Amino acid sequence: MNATIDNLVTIYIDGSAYQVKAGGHLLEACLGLAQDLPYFCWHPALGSVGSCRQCAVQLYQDAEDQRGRMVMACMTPVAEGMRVSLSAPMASEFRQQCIEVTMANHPHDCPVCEEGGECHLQDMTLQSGHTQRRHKGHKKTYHNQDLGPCVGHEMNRCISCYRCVRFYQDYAGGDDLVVLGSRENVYFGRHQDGCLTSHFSGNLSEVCPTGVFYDKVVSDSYTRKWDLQSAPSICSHCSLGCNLSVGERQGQVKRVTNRYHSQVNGYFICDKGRYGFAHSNSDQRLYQAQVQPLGDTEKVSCDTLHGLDYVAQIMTELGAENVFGLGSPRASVEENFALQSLVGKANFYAGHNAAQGVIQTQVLHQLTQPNIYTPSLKQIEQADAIVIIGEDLLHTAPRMALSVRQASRNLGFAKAAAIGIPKWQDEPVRIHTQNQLSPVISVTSAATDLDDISSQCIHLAPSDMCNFAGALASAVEGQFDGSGLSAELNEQVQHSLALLAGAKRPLVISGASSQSPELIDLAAQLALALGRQSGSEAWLSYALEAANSMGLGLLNKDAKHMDDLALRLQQQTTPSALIVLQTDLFSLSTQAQALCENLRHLVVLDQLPSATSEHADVVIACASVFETEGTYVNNEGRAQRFFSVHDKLGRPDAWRSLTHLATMVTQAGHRSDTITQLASCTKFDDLCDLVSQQGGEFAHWCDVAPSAGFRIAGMKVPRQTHRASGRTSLYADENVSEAKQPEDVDSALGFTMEGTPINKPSALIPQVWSPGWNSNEAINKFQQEINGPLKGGEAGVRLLDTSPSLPLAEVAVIPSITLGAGQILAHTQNHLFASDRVSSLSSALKQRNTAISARLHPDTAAIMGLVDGDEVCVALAQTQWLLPLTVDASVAVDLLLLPNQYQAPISAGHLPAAVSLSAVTQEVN
Amino acid sequence: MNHGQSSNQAVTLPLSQHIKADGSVTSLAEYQANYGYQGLAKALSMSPVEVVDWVKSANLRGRGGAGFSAGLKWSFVPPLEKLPGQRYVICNADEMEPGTFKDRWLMEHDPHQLIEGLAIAAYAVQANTAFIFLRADYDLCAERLQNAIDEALAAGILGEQINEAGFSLTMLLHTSAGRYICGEETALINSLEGQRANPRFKPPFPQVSGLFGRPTVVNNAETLCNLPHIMYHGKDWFADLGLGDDNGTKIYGVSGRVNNPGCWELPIGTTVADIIALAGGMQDGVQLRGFLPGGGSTDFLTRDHLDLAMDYGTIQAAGSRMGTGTMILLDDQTCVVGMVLNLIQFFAQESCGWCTPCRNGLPFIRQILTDLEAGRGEHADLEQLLQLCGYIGIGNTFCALAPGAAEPLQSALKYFRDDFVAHIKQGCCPHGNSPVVNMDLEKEARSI
Repeated sequence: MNATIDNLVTIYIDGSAYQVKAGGHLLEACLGLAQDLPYFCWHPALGSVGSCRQCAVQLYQDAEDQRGRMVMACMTPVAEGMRVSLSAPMASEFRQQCIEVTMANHPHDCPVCEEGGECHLQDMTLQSGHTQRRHKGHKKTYHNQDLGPCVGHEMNRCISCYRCVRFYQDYAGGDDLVVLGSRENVYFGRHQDGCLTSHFSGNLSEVCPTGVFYDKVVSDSYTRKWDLQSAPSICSHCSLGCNLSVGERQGQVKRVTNRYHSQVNGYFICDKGRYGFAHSNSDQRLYQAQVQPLGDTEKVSCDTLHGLDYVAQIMTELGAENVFGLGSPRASVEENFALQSLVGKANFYAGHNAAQGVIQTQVLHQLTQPNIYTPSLKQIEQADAIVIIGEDLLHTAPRMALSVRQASRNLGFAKAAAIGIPKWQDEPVRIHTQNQLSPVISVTSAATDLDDISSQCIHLAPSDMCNFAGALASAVEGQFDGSGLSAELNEQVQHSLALLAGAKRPLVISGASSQSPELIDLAAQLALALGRQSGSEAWLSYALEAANSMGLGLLNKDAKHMDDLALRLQQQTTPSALIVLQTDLFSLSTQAQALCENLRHLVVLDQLPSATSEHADVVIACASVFETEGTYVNNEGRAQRFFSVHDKLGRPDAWRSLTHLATMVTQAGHRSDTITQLASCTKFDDLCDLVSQQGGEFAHWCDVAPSAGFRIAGMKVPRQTHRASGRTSLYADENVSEAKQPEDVDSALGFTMEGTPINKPSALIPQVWSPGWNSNEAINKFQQEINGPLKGGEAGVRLLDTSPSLPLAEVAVIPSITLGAGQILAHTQNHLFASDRVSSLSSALKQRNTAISARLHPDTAAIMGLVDGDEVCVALAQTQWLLPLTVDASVAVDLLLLPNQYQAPISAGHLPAAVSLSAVTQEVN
Repeated sequence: MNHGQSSNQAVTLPLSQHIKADGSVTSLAEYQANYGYQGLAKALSMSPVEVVDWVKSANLRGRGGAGFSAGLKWSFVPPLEKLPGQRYVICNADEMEPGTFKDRWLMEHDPHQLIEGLAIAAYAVQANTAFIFLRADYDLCAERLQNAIDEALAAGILGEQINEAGFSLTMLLHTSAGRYICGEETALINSLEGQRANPRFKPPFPQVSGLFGRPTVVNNAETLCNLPHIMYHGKDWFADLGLGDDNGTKIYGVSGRVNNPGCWELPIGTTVADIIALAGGMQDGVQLRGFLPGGGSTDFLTRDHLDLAMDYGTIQAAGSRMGTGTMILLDDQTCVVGMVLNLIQFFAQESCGWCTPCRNGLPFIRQILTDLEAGRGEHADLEQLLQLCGYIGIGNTFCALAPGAAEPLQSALKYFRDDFVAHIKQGCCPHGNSPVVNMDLEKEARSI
């Protein structure tokens, strides 16, 4: 503990003295001291409201006072010398009575309840000591609503703790889940049946202390929670690296829940992270290698080793210099590194287009500048003024949008603090501050879901966005005279300037979805200008393209990308082969077809088929993110390890396939250093060692998570709970003899239930559990203090903090887009549930993939003679896309927004681009 | 009923002095004929701080039930220099306490008195906007108050720049949507903001952060009606009006099986017996057994307490509260279990649903009382009822609704335990009552 004595106070709990942090409340203090005190309405992220009355304690005036009075711990600030009792009969009887009246209407459907076995209400009921039902009346029953494919609703179980609406409305900004009715008849639901619209709705199942809001996807293939085999994982859907706990039973991933990380996701994840796991169970999965020998017309299936052997032959035949590798920002550092080692740095390219390549080197350059700091999501919540440029965060980095929403409350917290209201007093803070929010300036191409908390929303076309950012940066430095900017934009700049004037902790957010390296640069200029104005470090955060964009960027500092590769292959005179790692070339570039035609062999390592694997002559089936281990580096440069959840498929790790290949190639006589080193790796730890030997940002790679040799009391960390049942009969339908538990030589986790459930290092916590705490609320037993780091420290390593300033790679200038006659600039409109191949396999998310239309400003539409609802044809090169048109006044003028839909003819990788747009004439029958 | 005296010097029952026997409303001219709006004029000629001190020294205690000093309440509003900007005063006219109809009587007959009082309060705390939060069902009050506000506005009494210092006041009438909890001042504020009528946590008190997060004072209608007279006549006159420790007069009311139920203005500290005598005594054939002195959320007192003075201290010392000063009588022909069940049903229905003891505790009690009244009770129920009264008691809940609801029940168990026991022994209500629980509500609860 680094806390100085100044911000600690001494309190006495049942006669024992404890030092606790000043400014907090008693409940937080008690839980932080590992005391058991029941609660419902309080939530560490939502603060106190004092509605459930469950955390009553006895408070005494002084050492003489024997009687005391009862107070609610969550509503009582700690004070020096404070004396309380948790065990005083008055308070403990009161807590018991609270449960008695609460349980009067609670159904006894625990055996079939989704929450059963990890229910906070069950835990608190036991903790309070209530055992005997005395209520003789009927139980109340309610109508349940259909809330869509993700969240189930069983209102009979409700204990009216108000957490759901406080999370949904107050914390996440949703407006379609409300509290209705009054008295004993309060109802938490929507005004009518319908899918919950918030992209954070799934958190309801974790926020609800009982089974009212439950995970419908889990429920659809129900498993008892203690029967899940779990592993710590990292979300693969965006660049933020939210920590997940993933549960499996019988070879199927059953559910994903939030895994607490104080600096990253805290207690909440987005719905894509929670429900986007079905790809791993998909019947479209590639399970076997496929090989199509030259001259054959069809691929034949074979085992992985056989397939790899075929690839090794290709490599030997063509010569190392003619084998190229295309890495992926969606694959782990280790997988990319293994591919890079196999083909050599000179032949390794990143699986993204030119714009992303330039963006990647820009991002690395800016974030390693000495006076720029990139904050964690938790730190973002401390910003007192935020400028978002060119990023629709809810759809590209959703958890960051949630942090921005919290940051907007800082003005209110400060105002409340001025009259002595602490931050955790949730209702008084909100009442006192009303709608006053810290400035958030949102510069996007159309309306976003953060507009409701934005002080200024500006909707601009990409070029205007750059002009605006540049002008604002100059204006902050006092070097802008308004020249070269329209009067309207100039006015906006002045407005922003006024909003940002007093900021002490300003933050600029931009990102890769703009596809504009210039904007990445200008965002940094603006951050530096604001940093100088506020006299502090410049805070800058970028939302990147994919889960491991940063990791791939660090491996590929010269920023070679797919367009470079295409050029190289064109110039190549000898036959060549390309090994593609988990990438679909066709969604990246309109040149994919041409690129494939320049290859003699195309080898794809992937878990799912794609247009690229269709073209390939060798396909090696790989493990999904839940079946292997690896490391992603998130947008703030934090390297975080994920682990395999189960072993059902026999570990077809991509990294292992690549090391096998290295071995085969070495045996065939290849002797490059990197291949030899790769060939020497037999375990995941060997590969990690090799990565750390790269030095630089990778020097501390082995600190990302404990190695496979880590043991607690001589035992591995169990993936299974100590209550897991049916282990010996789980696969009896396949084989009646009891199978030996699989061994895991690649991590410190075991596929068993042997081992201790507590005192685990933070990176190795598959699920939280503590005696008497079976729900996720058990997290308080794992934290150093409430809302603080885990007892095992912050998992992961921030790689860029100690990195020297990285130079900009020399990259080809991306030609600017010129509009031909009748053409319009088209850009991407991201949609969280639509944009990628992996999440498109979740049927729950698929149902929430709405708004598949092109969007235009009314003025632009009028000029083009188009009206809302028209069927339009968008043409880009040879590609045509027919889709409906939505006329939307929030879209910037002269800009066409196209939805980023997986498998659409035009994808984000092709944009921005000049396209032609025309109405499809309706045929009259 | 009292009729006001015309001589200023002889005013002893100031609040009702304008109330006419025919029930018609006092016009602005009639009101002004008898020093109407002169109290406001006097206040406007003083500094706001002087007005606060004037009222503080008069020791006017809140007539809404809690009896807190009105002047002291105002003094918690931070001075304008320290906290500039908008502030509000609100008249709490959401009169829904069972058995209480005193504010209605004042507002229906003499609306200008309330408007003047509210304007004085607004000036004292420098609020430029004043609200009257009126009970939904008080249609006649609404009509007469709005007319009176319009009259005062037309006469330049309200509106822009009503004194030399340039004080302006907008007065708005807000008719509530009809919940008992809106009488709780912070729930009232939430309701006025358009939020759910849940009480707010204190601190911060409304005087610091109230309506729309601004300093706000909420005073009961009767309390405000006293202000014109206190400003006009002074604190000594006010002190002389009361019979005991408390100052001024009080509107007392009586309901139950008396010959002449109603309300009357009397010196504060008049005895219970005198008030009941004014109501014409008990009807033929019924005997008084007990009474709730200050509305439905006060403890029962009995025949032994008839000689007590109805003032804050005396009634509290006897184990109850003066509350609104409007008593409900229990006679020997009425089932006490049925009476408390009726009250508990009311409070359970009016709970806002925010905190557990009130939301779930009151229906739990209702269930036990329903069983008792239907003759399905057991001896253990009485012990549990007492436990539950403690459970929903003062300090345990988010606001005072549930503790108030517990008061008639806990005192009924103390004074009339035999009645409860008789229900259990006889297996039915000795008075032949069947439970009066609102079955529509029950049905509704099941259908949602």
